[in-house]
Amino acid sequence: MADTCFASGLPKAAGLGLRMPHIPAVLQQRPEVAWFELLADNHLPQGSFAYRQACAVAEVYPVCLHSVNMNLAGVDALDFAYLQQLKWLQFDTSAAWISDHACFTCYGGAHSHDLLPLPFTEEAVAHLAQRITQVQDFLGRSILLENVSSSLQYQGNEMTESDFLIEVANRSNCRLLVDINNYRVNEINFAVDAWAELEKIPGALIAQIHIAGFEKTEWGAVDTHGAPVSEEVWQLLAKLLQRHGTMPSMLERDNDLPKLAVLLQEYEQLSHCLANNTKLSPQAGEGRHGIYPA
Amino acid sequence: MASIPLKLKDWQRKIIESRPGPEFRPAGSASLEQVFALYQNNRNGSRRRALVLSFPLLAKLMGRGRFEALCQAYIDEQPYHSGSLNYYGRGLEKYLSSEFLDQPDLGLFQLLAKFEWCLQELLLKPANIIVTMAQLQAMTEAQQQSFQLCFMPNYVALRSYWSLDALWLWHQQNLGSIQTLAAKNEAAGYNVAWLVQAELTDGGLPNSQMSDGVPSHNAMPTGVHIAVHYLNGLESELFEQLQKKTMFTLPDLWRLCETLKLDFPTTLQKLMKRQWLTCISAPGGANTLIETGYDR
Repeated sequence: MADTCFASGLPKAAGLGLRMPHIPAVLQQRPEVAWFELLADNHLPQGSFAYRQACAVAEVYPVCLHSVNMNLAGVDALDFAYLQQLKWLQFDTSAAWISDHACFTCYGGAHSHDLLPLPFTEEAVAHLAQRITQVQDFLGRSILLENVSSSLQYQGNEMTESDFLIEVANRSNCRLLVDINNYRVNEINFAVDAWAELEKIPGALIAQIHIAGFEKTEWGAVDTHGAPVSEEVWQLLAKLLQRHGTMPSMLERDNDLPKLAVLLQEYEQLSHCLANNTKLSPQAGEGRHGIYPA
Repeated sequence: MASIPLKLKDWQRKIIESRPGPEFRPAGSASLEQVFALYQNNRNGSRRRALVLSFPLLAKLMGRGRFEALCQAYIDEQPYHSGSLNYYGRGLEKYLSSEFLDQPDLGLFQLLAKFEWCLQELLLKPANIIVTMAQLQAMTEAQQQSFQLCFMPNYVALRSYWSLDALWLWHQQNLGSIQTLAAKNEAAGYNVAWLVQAELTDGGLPNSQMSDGVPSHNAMPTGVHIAVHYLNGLESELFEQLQKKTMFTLPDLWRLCETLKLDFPTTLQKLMKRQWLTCISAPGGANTLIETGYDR
């Protein structure tokens, strides 16, 4: 029997990112997948065809939602119309949680359609924590905060990335979605030891894990979510799971989407990795919980 | 290096405006210019992908080079202030109309852009509760006078010189040279008006609810079916007028029929029979329109 992270959360098992082209096949074939992550922005607005597809998936499988437009660390005002759409979608799909990123996506109304990096400063910690608190108050639920890969850093960083994320999570009572691939990309780009950063994060703060592929360029690495997962990332995942026990882990594939059968093979590989982790998971009730009901 | 004080908002402004400075450290061996160009390319790439997804038939008929040039011009010149790319292509048809008036073959492209955008928007519209003749007949006259209706959101009225639905089907079924079909269409001189409907197809999955052959809005969607209903000129005029209204009453519909010299009972029967009307509010507060925040 699969463990659950929260009272009504995801099984502590491998999951899969479900993208629009594969939804009809999943609804028809009902593959054995423990849970799916849906890209929330692809399933809005409420009542649309894509929205109802998300609800159809959620009737069969446990799901969580992953969004990209909260602009959590932005200085522009929060978009409460957008947050309302997410709230409806979370309710209608009974999604375990919504996650978004430690980044900004727009400034002065100009949208980048990208996850832009932050300086790791006290000012940014305070701002991001306050924004997350506002979002959680509105949603009535805790959210997950994901680390991003970056091609740019602030010369005057006051702390490391993990120190930044831990401080934000502690102040806002959110949890973390740890993207191991993004730590690996930042390791290549800025010579920051990925494992040293990962092992700082308390296990009780981690609710979900992402792995994905990246591509090397002539000057560094870019997080493409389109290449196969690198050996280094698999090894970091294994070490993290050994340290903290099995937790919901997922392979992200957004570009160069292969056929569903290929994705399911990758899912099997991840399931095997989790199954090989012999460390017992913390029991429900131990560790740190968000202040909002699960 | 000594710390360079930088406010968060200045950091964000400089990145959005692509203004490199000494406070930034680029990745690996990249230059700041390369990194800022990467972010700019990412933004343009996301917008371009949204246009390709929304206008696949237009892209194919225009040809890759021409369509990419159109996309880049649209990206550079058309402001867009939403994080969601679902609606990014909304202005493309008007942009084509206004920018390329002197290019004769763009008549077809403009209509195709309008047609394909209609299909895109249909997928984003919520399904509402269909109103039936039985429901209307059960009301008092006073209730009928005030009952709020709107046109089914998954329908859109169009007019064009070409049989765009045939072109669309040709593209979907990948039947060979689409340019040949486009040329045939033009030579035949079609002048058609139609109503395009997007409806969910139900794969016969458990929990789907079918009653009287009408798919429930709770049915599990497995695909989208695009249906085209050919209209005469007056009917297309009526539907275009109805689409402009957020809501209307039966007296409003009667007045429209009078203006267009359409028989009101016959028109109402047709609308009801084909389930083209939905209700916004009924006496008693039931069947209210779902709030989507979507600007119809």
